[in-house]
Amino acid sequence: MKNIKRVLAVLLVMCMAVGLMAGCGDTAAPSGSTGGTSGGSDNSAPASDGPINMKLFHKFPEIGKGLDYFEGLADDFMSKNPNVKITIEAVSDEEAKSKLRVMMGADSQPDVYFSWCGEFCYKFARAGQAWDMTDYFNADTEWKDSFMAAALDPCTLDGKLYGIPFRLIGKTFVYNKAMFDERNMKAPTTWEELMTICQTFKDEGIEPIAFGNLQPWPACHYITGFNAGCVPSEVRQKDYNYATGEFTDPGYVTALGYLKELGDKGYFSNGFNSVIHDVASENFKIGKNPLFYCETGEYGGLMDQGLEIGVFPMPELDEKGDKNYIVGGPDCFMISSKSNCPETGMEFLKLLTSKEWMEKMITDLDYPVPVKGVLNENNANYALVEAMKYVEEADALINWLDTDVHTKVSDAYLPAMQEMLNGTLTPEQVMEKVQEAAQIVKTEEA
Amino acid sequence: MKVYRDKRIIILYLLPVLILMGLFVYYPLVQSFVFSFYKWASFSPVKEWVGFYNYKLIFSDPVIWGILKNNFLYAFWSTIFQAGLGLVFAACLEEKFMRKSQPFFRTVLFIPSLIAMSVIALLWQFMYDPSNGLINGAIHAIGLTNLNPQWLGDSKMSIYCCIIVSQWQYIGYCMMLDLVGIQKIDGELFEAATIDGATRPQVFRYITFPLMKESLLVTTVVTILGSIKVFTEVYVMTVGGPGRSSEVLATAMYRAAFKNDEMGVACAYAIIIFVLTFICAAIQLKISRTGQD
Amino acid sequence: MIAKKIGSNIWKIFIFLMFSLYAFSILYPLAWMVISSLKTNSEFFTSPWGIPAAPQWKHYYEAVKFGVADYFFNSVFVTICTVIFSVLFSAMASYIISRFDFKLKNAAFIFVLGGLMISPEVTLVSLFKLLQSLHIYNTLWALIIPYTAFRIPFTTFLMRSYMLSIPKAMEESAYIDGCSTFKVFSQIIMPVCKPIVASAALLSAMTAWNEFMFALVFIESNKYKTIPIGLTNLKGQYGTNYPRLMAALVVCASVMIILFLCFQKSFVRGLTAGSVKG
Repeated sequence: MKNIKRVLAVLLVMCMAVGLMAGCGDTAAPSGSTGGTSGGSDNSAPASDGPINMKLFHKFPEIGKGLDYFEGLADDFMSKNPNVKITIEAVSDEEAKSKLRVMMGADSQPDVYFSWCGEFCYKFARAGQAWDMTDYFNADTEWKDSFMAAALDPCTLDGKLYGIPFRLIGKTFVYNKAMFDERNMKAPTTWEELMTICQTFKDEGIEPIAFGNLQPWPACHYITGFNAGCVPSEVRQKDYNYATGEFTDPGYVTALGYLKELGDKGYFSNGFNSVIHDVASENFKIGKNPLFYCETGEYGGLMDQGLEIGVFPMPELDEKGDKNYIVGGPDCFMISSKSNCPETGMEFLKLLTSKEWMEKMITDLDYPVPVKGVLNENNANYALVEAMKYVEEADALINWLDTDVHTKVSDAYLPAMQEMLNGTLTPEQVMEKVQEAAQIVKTEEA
Repeated sequence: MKVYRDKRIIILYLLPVLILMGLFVYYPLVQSFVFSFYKWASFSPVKEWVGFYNYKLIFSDPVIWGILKNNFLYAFWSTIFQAGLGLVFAACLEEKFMRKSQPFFRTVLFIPSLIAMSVIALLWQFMYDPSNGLINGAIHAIGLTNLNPQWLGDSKMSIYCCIIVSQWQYIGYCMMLDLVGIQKIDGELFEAATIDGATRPQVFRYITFPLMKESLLVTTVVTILGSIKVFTEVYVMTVGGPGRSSEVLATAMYRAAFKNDEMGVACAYAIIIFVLTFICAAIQLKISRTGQD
Repeated sequence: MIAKKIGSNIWKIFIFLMFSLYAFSILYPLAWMVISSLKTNSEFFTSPWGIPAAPQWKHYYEAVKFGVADYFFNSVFVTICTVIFSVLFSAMASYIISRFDFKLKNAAFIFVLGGLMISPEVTLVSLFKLLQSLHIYNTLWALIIPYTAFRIPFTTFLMRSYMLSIPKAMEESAYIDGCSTFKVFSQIIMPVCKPIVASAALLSAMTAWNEFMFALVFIESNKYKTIPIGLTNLKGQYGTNYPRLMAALVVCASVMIILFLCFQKSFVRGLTAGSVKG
């Protein structure tokens, strides 16, 4: 009796263990091909007649918006290429960064994946994770020429192209038209005019600029522009390169001074370091603040309740840096160097950046695109058209600081700016921290 | 008794736990330990041996002392509120005059710990919001209109704001664990003590407290270890900011791993967390002399 | 004597008031969550503490349709399996650790407890590779097994401390009567431990239900995703409809609250059963 029970107990545990493993085996079978080092798809012959499984990773999981868009795109591609089977994974913004890294760490990255441009993209390229698109891209001159030149630069490292831009975001001020009209104000063109406008609102007891810096990237977008305006272009480019970065130019302190001025004069909304960007955006939308520094992709959301907005670029600064620039940058798709079907991936991206699908991106998602001559009054809202005019007329597109410099440098920069705005650090101390980080990066990477 | 020495039974019953933990908990831990001596990024196949460099990097940055201080504050207040006050609450609810309302209170107090941290964080971000928030609203309502505390945006207050939220969420949790333990205590003990003229605090001090030793050990160990590992609360509420003022070990680790691509540094943080928690747990087990009659 | 009586009554009132205040500080935000979920997005921001002009019930419909429905079964399955495995394995281990005599007893206890000291965030890459080599990446088991493994330390710790305080007499007489370990474990120990099993089960269910990080990284196909990941479908890249998200979170949380209400009878004594005399 005693023994039987004991045997039963053993069996129970073993059954469970086996059950676990067996269950695993069964359910894992379909995804087995994705595991290990074999890469994203089973077939070794690229673009042959055999079935091609391609994995797509993007960061637009919102139902009714990005998710539907990319599903539609994949369906379209599959109907045109019946031998291709696309599986999509969509993960939201912040999560995409971690998930992408883990997937690459386990050598099971998707064939085609979303990436930010600049350092984020270069990092993958340097680690040998990105497929060199240059030859394939150059072969189709018509496709190549359809892009705005400024959009391709941040995807290019040492003359090689690693990403196809599909969205081009610029950063501009937007203002509440009704509030401006009431006071007979016009969009400012100089820094002084902007200051006057802010002061007028402030005197009326209205906080002028909606700003939410709990997550510290919005301040980073301001400083991206101020740095470009205050630091000579060559110096800045040298500093932004992780191998030569020093950040000793006095222009950086001047740039921080502009940001601090906005904060110290009380032109930012109350409690900006305690609220997230979304809250600031809503406060602008409901007319609590008349000004908002935001991305062109955000216009659609701001206007969906009928708010009339005007657009103007960040005024030029009378300093030693660039003139006539816009802060912004493209987002791109990259192809894994481990992919067995990079050509299929390229064809897919060609479809994405075709006129038809780019137009659809504008109408469905309100995202501005890097392909020339697509965006116009018929498919985009008036604010977007106006903003894209500024982007196209600009001499330079200044890529986001946090994706342009080494992550460790931006990781020192951004939190320090929060402290500066809180008054616990001076601009000089912020730059000291940045210099330290740049120094560490330089010695580590050498 | 002989059966209590049967090796086969011991192994059999421990086996599933040993296998699962060995494979899914200790194997990654050992890997982290080894990898903490390398410089590597999660997406890159290259791993470069750097010895103790990652540890040196962590401890040469003055930020680490702020981080450790935050973790200490977290552990300190959590122990007082969750383990301490939780037990007092449980004892109060067991008082005769609270019996009727006990189901209501224990349910309500436990609810916050059932809700995902993302909701709690969103909720409290709105409570703390300096212009629309409930807390500043209340402060202004009682006439202190020139006070404008920034809460999450203030370097000095942000960590306390996170700590408060954690207490709010988890006092009920510890209280519930204590309730389960208290109700196991033989009621006649309380009765006898009361007849002998003991006051309520005396009953708590001399009966409830000693008999709750094991239960209290569980709650203190769990809160202290939880405070050293705390991540989500801080990450979703302040992302460690403003500046680095509310950074804790786990957020620093996450930052290193998934923002700065320094997996080696992240692994070193993980090992620091492990060592710290291990020391704390060892001290607590030693003091409590658990398992001995 | 009378003064003492009044004093103690003041204490009682004070304690009751404290509890009421605390309960209010919990119920008010919860009510806020529900009220907010019925607002429009701009109401949510303009009057965060006000009442919605026209309740937006459609948020619940949309939230369930887009963020919850497809993932509900996965979440339920993962939660149930995690609860069963973690409670069963932990109960077995804690029975051994709390009762049996062997040289490595303390070592075994520390080994299990060590699991409490590990931050799951840093094990992501290692676990990811491990799950792939076991061929369970991107299946529900990729969540169930790690969840179980990470729940075991706490559950074992909890159950061990409970079992330590159960008198040995009953099981010893059972052994003398010739019962097997299995029978003693399943028919004597487990029933006595019902309150702690219930609390442990609830706490494990809670973690498995709300867990985000593993669910994000170890699952790839939409058909295996759990609710916390599903909810990200409701977050926009530029501007989120917060009330709708809130509605989804209310739905998600209420499942756990209902579960708790059903469970709580079994781990906290009801008003009548076995109440303390005096």
